[in-house]
Amino acid sequence: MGLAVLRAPDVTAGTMPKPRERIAARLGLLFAALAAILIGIMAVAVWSLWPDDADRSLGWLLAGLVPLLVGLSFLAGLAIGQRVDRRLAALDGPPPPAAAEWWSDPLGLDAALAGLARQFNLSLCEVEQRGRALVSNAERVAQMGSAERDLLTGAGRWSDEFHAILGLVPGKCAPSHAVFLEAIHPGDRAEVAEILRATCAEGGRREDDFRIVRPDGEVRMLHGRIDVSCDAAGRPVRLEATLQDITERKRLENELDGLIRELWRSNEELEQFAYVASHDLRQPLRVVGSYVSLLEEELMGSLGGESLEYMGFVRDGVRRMDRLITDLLAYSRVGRVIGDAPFAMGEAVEAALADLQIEIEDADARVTVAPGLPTLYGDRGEMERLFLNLIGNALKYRRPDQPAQVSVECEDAGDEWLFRVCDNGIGIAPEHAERVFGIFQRLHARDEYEGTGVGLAIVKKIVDRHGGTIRVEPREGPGAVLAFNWPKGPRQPEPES
Amino acid sequence: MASKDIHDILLVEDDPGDAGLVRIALRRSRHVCRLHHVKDGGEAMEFLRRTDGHGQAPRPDLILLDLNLPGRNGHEILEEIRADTTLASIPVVILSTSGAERDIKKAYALGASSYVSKPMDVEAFTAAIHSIEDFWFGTAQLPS
Repeated sequence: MGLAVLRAPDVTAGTMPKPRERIAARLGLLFAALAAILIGIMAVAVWSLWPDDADRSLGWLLAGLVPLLVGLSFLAGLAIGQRVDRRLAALDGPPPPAAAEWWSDPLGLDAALAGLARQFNLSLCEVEQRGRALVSNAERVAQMGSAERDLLTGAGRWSDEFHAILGLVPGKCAPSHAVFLEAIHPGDRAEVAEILRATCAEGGRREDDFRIVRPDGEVRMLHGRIDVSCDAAGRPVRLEATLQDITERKRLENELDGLIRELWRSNEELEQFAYVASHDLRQPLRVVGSYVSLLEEELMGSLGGESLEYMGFVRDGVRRMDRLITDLLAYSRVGRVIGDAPFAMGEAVEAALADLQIEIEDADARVTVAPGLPTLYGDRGEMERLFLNLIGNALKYRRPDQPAQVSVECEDAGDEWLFRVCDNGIGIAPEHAERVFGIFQRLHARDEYEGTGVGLAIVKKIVDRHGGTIRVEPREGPGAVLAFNWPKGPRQPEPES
Repeated sequence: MASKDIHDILLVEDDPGDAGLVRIALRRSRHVCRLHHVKDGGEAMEFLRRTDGHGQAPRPDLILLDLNLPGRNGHEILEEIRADTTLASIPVVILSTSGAERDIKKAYALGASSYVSKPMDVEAFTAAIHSIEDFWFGTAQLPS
């Protein structure tokens, strides 16, 4: 009863009793037990010393025995409880030092609290385990293993993924420098060992790429990072390391390097080809053409109508072949020498018009250029060639029955400019709108309109290279509209001069 | 007028067709020229140094040098001529099919006197040869 009363405020309230209250309770209880025993002894003494046996009252005996029994049974209970506590404590682990003796915790409160603490620890453990599982999952997904080591005690832990990366099974080996170094490829072992040694001795952070050989003989490429922290005295105390398997990344990087090398090589080959084409292919062509002319000169007068026609075919073939080679070269050279810089679009158009002066006069053409053309970023020479081709086409494919009209228009379309070259010529049928940009693509017989079919291919290549797009715009009525977009800024901003 | 009546021209050209065109152009020229034709760089150096059967070779007043030659190319021949102190003063005109920027730059860097791209048709070719002659044998002063 008394015990219940004494325990009640602590346990039911669910709060931890303060040490001072605990001592007061324990002392109060002890003194109550001692007082009961004392009272019992005194009552028994009174009964036994009663002078007259006949008068001896049974009441005194009872008054003595009851408190004695209560006091003794309470002490016995305390002693038994203490032993049970110790047994239980021995099962769970080392007993808390403060509760070593029964009198330090006569009510078993400490033991109860220790039990609570144990439960608390158990749930903590569970939370930690779940946390570890989550971390381990994350490591597996990231293919990154982690390890830590207390440099003072030498105790270390490797994560599951750390084991997996090395090709080891968790629990089958004791994490140590030696086991780790064992896994490293003999060619890289000395270097990694030196990094480990130096970092563990001086602290700090290091990174390195190295190879390992898994137990099954597979060689993998790893990226390792080690971070050694020091205590206040500058003594290295704790090592944290991460490992990442970069075999796949390295393989892709090597593949990319190979591709880039291949691209360079093929570019160089292309340049070589362009050179050979310009020199070696045109050389015999020139000789053929020249000697046909000389023959014509010598045989002038003695040649009949058909022979003259044949001569004409030969000369024409040579001239066409030469233009094809020249145009093909021009096409292959777009973007080979990049001289991108801000330039005034108006000047490029003017330069193209100056080059086309003869054609403009021949076609009796009127060319209008929108005023206030912007400053663009790109290769000015290529822009000139672009307009040379577009305006040249507009002049070439004119209607024979009326003077040519060509206009160059410009429109601000947000982060790019939109240009249009419009004419009143023969136009481009919608079904050919895509085809006209193909190389060597021609839409007309050679005796109708001259050309190699490279001009618009060059134009498209120039626009593409500058990040723009070009298309034939559908048009009501006669003529063709070629529209292209040109980005306002360079793809990587450069300071304007 | 020039100080000499007859001018010696050394043509280094492996293509007989082109060599023929030069010969025809010179035949129609108003200058009196003697054309000496060699087919590669090795023979050109023998001619210039009067070795190996070229003992009687005159010192040319002008060298017309093709770039695309069998064996050593025109650039290498030019370099060798300019490195030879006895030959360095002879004007060398590069006569090539190539209009490539790098060929032109390299030729001038190596000391070419001028660079002429062979024109496509025969009239223009003849005119080019005549203008070379007119300049070097008419306008320019040559070392005697």
